[in-house]
Amino acid sequence: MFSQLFGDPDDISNEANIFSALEFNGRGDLLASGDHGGSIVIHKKNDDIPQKASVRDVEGAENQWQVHCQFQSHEQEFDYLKSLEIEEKINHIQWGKPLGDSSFLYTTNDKTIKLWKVGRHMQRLPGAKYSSIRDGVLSLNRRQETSSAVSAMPKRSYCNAHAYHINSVSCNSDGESFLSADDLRINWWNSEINTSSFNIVDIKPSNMEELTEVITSAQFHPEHCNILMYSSSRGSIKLGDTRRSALCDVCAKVFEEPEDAASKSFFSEIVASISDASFAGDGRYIISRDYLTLKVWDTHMETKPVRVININDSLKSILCELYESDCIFDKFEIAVSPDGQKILTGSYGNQFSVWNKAGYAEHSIELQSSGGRSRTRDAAEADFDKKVLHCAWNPSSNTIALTAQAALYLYKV
Amino acid sequence: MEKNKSDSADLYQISLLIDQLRHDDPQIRANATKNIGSIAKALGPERTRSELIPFINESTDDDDDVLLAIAENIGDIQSHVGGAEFYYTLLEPIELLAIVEDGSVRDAAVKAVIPIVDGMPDDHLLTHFVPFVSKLALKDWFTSRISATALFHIAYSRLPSHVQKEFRALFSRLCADDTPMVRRMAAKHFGDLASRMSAPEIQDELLAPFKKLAVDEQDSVRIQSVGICIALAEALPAELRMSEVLPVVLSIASDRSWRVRWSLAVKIAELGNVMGQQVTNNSLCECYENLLRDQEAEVRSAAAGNISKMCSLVRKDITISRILPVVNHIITDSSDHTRASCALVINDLASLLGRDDTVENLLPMLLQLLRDDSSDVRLNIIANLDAINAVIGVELLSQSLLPAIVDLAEDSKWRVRFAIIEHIPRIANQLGCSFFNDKLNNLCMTWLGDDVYSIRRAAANNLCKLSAQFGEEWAKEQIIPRIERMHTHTNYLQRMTALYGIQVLATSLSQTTVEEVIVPLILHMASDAVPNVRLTVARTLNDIVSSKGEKFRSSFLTSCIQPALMTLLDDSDRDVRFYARQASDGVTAVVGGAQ
Repeated sequence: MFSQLFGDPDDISNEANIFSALEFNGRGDLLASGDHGGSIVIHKKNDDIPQKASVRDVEGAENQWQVHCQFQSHEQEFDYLKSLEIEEKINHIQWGKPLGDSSFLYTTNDKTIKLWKVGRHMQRLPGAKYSSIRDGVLSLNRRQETSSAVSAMPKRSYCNAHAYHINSVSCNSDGESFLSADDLRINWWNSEINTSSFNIVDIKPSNMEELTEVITSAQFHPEHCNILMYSSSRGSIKLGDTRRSALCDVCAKVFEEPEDAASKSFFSEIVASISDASFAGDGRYIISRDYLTLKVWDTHMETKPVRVININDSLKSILCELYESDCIFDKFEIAVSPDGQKILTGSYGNQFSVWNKAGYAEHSIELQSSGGRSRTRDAAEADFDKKVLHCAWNPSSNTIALTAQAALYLYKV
Repeated sequence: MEKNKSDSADLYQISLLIDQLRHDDPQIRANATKNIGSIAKALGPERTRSELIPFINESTDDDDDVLLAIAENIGDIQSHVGGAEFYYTLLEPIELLAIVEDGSVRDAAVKAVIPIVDGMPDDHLLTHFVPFVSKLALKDWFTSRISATALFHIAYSRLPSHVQKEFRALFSRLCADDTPMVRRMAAKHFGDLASRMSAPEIQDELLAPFKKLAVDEQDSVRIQSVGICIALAEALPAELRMSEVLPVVLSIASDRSWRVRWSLAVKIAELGNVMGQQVTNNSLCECYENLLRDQEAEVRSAAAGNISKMCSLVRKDITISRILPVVNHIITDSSDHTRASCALVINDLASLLGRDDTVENLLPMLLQLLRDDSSDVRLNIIANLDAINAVIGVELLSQSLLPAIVDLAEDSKWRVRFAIIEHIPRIANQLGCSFFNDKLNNLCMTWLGDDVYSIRRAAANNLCKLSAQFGEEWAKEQIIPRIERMHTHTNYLQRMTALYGIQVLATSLSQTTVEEVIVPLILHMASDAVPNVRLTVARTLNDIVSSKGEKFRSSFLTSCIQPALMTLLDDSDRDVRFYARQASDGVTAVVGGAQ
């Protein structure tokens, strides 16, 4: 059920407003979104507003979520050594451990990760005098009434650690370290130290001509501090154990479905690239999405996925046109419900779908600013410029967030 | 009147400082905060307590740099609050600093507590310090609980026993906290608290939390257990060491995580020291051998670095029969780092083994390491030759030593060449003059002509040290002729190096030699075609005159040096004229001073 809309879905003129990252925080009361222009908008759930009993009422759609804070996270930079521009587009956002009323989030663009603190800060009165001298006696004026406003303060900046484009940031369950992954390497940082990090995975071949796969996403296990997972463009998911050795190139487990020789085609390699992978629930299952399917893996079984859900079968016939228009390289994210049973992902034509782990589609909906469902169009006939790339599932309530170009939709499931 | 003026000037300064404390620019605020002590002094004790401290309390939602400055300088206020009975007033701002998310600010705040509490009267400890610690330990912000773990041990011995019991209970609670970071910091400060407790107290209350921390699921917590083991081993009697601490040590040694095993490898010698001879010889030795054979190179490196310390703790026969065979494997280890850290300490074994055993067991290993592929390994052996020399002398090594040195001297990486040059004077000392003359002399000369400037410079300094060691006659015989030859080299860089060489040599030679040999060499180059060389001539003359000027005969100065400088003063190049002017002024000053 439609809940709220931020932004204008039809406005595609300003590329800076197109969303590129989306994440709920651990408590489920804050939603952070990043866009191509490098700015972050944080929405907060306002619990004061009473819930409407019936959500079918379109005009009375609840405005439970409101803009809480907005700030510019990254600016466009220029790499002088390589003569390349570094885009300010936010690639990934991760929330850290909150402290009191303040929250922390890590944001990253292609090259730099930044840690921000979001909370109430006192605003200074410019030019105020705090001391005065009268008759040779010094006196201190106490603080004048100042307002406090919600703002984001940059805490740390972790730079110059990645030669390739950073695609993910993930916090460790120990609460004080995180990893950052680019196409070929994964680094492990301590939050307090921004001058150096450990490199734990390096898949760069000594001869770059032999490059066959890149890392597409990486994540720490939600509970075990020593396990990390990374997915590759060849369709494999690898689990590394940091306890075994300093470099996790040799993986503890590899989840790869052997290629079906019958259905091999020119596009099968491209289509097999995993766009997003995530641990589900307590970490027993891994859900991964490539262009045409969702796969559910049990971490105890490496040979084949527990379930393969074909979500975009109709696209198989038009892969050629999709390749021509570069749409075949689109990276769709997935989001998993807090209990680990449902999977949310987006598609073309501003559609998204929620799947059950058993393989059944529970919902398949086209995003619309007004409430009510509409019949979904077949994926092959959809508008390929309208893609729902980013999505997130609130860990403490049944709200989901989705982006469609420059618009952010909130739905209740 | 005057006193008033200076007073008001001071007051004005202080007023400025106070305004800067609230300036918009955080850098200015941080700098102003460092002078907090002088503000307190100007305000006087009462006003410091009633106005300055609340002022500080209000600034604690500030930029990290400012907070750090406050935490580091709050101790300056301590002497201005009006005496020890008011020290407790400083606990309030420190409490606000101790819950900040930045770790370095919290650490500084905790450090600042120590002098405050040490000076506090005992009754105030009960009325102010104990509630302060309890509040931090029970607060729901995890950062305050982290700071609390570091505070329990500070005044522990001064507290009455029922309060000590409370503290122990609070600490045990923190050891089982939900947040991993709190448990980790509790483990880190466990030893501090345990060292102030009596053995029965530890046995009753702390052993259980200790064992739980040692099997915590978070790697970062288990890594701290080795430190706790060492502290407990010091505090507990021998039977408890065996029954309680040793099992934990053995489980650490076989932990699944290499980082935890590494933490043991690094501190194993310290642990062996406190656990006692018997335990070390039996169980720890076996642990240590396994660490030396660990599958992770980092663990092996850390263990290898402790070879000499461990061997000094165990009996000699165990060293020879059990540890040396494993060391034999290490010298052929696949990881460069492991072999290098082994090479650094292996020489120290010589004094433990004695002459015969060294020759029989250690020497082959040293020879193999000297032929290692990695230059770091070879450098590390050579760096520590003194230890071998004391026991067996270097003649037995010299056969292999020489090729190793030559290899390193010609290494393609300049830093390796640089490192070996640093070792040459000591090696020369041990090998003796004649050996040096035969084999290494040429090498030292070639370095003077190296491509890299730092090498040429280091080589020249090297010659200076050698001439100080071997004496002036040796220098005159061996070095000076060769330097003379360099003076006529076609490459101007060589000629400049030669000049620098003479300059440093001059410091270790006698006055007559300097006058008769060195200065003429320098003056010879005053008419060089390249201005850089002429410039260096002027600078060298300046250096020599200013450092040894008084020793020169003034007639020498006026007859030899000054005319040469006069010609340089008319040089076509501006820089040459500049330095000639400097040198000339220097000479004039010396001549004038002598007169």
